[in-house]
Amino acid sequence: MTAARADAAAAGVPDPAVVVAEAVAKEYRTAGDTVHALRGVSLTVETGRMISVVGPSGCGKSTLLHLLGGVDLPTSGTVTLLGQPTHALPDAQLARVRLAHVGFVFQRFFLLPMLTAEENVMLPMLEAGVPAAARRARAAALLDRVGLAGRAGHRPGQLSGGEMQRVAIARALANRPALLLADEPTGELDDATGREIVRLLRDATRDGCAVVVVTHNAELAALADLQLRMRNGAVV
Amino acid sequence: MRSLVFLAGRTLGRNRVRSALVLLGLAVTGALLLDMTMLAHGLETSLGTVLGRIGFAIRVLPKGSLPFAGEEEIPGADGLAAAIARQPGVAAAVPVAATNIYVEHGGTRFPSFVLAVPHGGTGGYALLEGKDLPGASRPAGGMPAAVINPIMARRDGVRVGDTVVLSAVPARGLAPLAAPRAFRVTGIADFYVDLAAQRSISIATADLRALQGRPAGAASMILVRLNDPARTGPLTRWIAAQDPRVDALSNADFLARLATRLTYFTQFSLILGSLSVAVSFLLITAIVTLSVAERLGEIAMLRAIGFTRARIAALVVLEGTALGMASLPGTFVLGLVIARYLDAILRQAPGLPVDLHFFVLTSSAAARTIALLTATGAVAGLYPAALASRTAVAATLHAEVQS
Repeated sequence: MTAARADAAAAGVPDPAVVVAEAVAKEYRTAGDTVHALRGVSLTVETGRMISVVGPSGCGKSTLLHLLGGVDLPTSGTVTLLGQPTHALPDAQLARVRLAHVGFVFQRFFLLPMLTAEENVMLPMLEAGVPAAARRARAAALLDRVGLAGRAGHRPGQLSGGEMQRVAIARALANRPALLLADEPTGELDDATGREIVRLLRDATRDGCAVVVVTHNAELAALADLQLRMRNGAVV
Repeated sequence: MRSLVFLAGRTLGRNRVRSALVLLGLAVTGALLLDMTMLAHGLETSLGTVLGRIGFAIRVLPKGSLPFAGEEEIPGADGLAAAIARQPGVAAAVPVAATNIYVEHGGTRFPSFVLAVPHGGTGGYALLEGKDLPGASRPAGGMPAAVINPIMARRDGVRVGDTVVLSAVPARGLAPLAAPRAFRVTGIADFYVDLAAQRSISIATADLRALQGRPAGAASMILVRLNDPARTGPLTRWIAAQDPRVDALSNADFLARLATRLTYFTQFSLILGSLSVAVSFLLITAIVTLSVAERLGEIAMLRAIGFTRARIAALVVLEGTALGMASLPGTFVLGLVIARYLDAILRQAPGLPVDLHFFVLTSSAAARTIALLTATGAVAGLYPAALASRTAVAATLHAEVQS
């Protein structure tokens, strides 16, 4: 924790930081080699803010996103997610933090093909133990919000790429996360659909959600409150 | 748990053709397992049903023997039966003799099983038509009575009121002391332990001894009926103490003795049943492992959105369990059809009582099959569950995008 944030916390001011990365490094060991995916990255993501992360392929953008969301742990440095250092949490507890507070949107959507759009949206709520009526109401509201109220009963195979990504965004928002992480969410979409997806992510910040978007799309990156440029595992 | 059951169920329906083929394969191996669990104790169960129907709670036999399995007899059986009948709680003690005899009717002569009882009303068979043998105070003089089984009536045209001539030897004149005697058929009855296609006839023990030219008193077996069929222990102990040359067997003892002579059925069904479990296990493990390998990206996504390793493992184990359970309807349909067919083949073997079956579906056989297939599914899911729960989330998500 930085000195300024420690002072604010001591003064009883609510900490706006949802996730804080401090001098985070990540190394992967391959056969006889070490890949430095991240080199001492520091970053604070605050409530209601949208940050875009841009950079060439292989520069560590997705790795940073995974560390911020607690699906991976840093080799050195710390990631503090909602006040809890991710490396100090047992795996099961970290999973519970992700379930309750983090939403993920993936480039490949990763919708379950045997579930309808509504069931895909309800999945995190079902896992979190949200009662059935509340689940259904929330899923209906989210699908309405992403413009898919009429497609609730359709399976992913019956939806276009843009529709699938909108379902994925609705799923990511299902448990009212504090942090929404999107990895190339427009990577497989045309420009018009991409803009629609960006609008939905931007809307999420109005609900107080912090959003981090990894993208190659300059137009999407420009809409963020803060742009981070990365190269060779470092913020430049 | 509800979310896992929901997901596991939907995963089964994901690739319907593949699931249907796997379930068909599991139904075949499951059917073999069901048949083997039915066969393992089928004869005992079937015989237990017959014994229950006959209604005698204790059988007193020459030591180490089985009923009607040989020519051994209990010497002094009449006296022992009378002593047993005087014991408290005993409703009847019936010494019966059994052997083979020759019957002549309408100019033809044929062999028959004969069950000799002291008098009518002993319950050694169920009367279908006509009258039973005379009671204990049978009238003096006149032609002695006989009761026949439906096979003799049907095959040889013997009817109630007909006269049959019985002989202890195959041809006239072979045994001067055992002269043939004429009997009047008074009834047709269902003999409880008839062999398939076997002719049976029942006559009074005194008449059989006269035919054989042997003194009265011995019997093949003493059948004991109790007022409370569940209380066999005290009486069997008392009988064993009275005469060390006999065994007094309750129905359960009798079935246990039979079971020791039928161990090959148990071993046979154990080996084939184990094989079918092993094949089911491999089939489920293979298909669930394949399914997990195809869904690594989805599994990584589930982990990313908050499913714990344990929940992922439980999901995959549930998928295996669901496969095992989903195969049960097919298992039972196919298993029962095959069992019926095999039972019909085996029952063609000579020397088997009519009401005996090799494959008997009991609640315990059904429960054992259900439990084994369900457990096999769960255990078969363990290996793919371990693979799924160990999925490296970040690396898998990254690899999925790169691919």
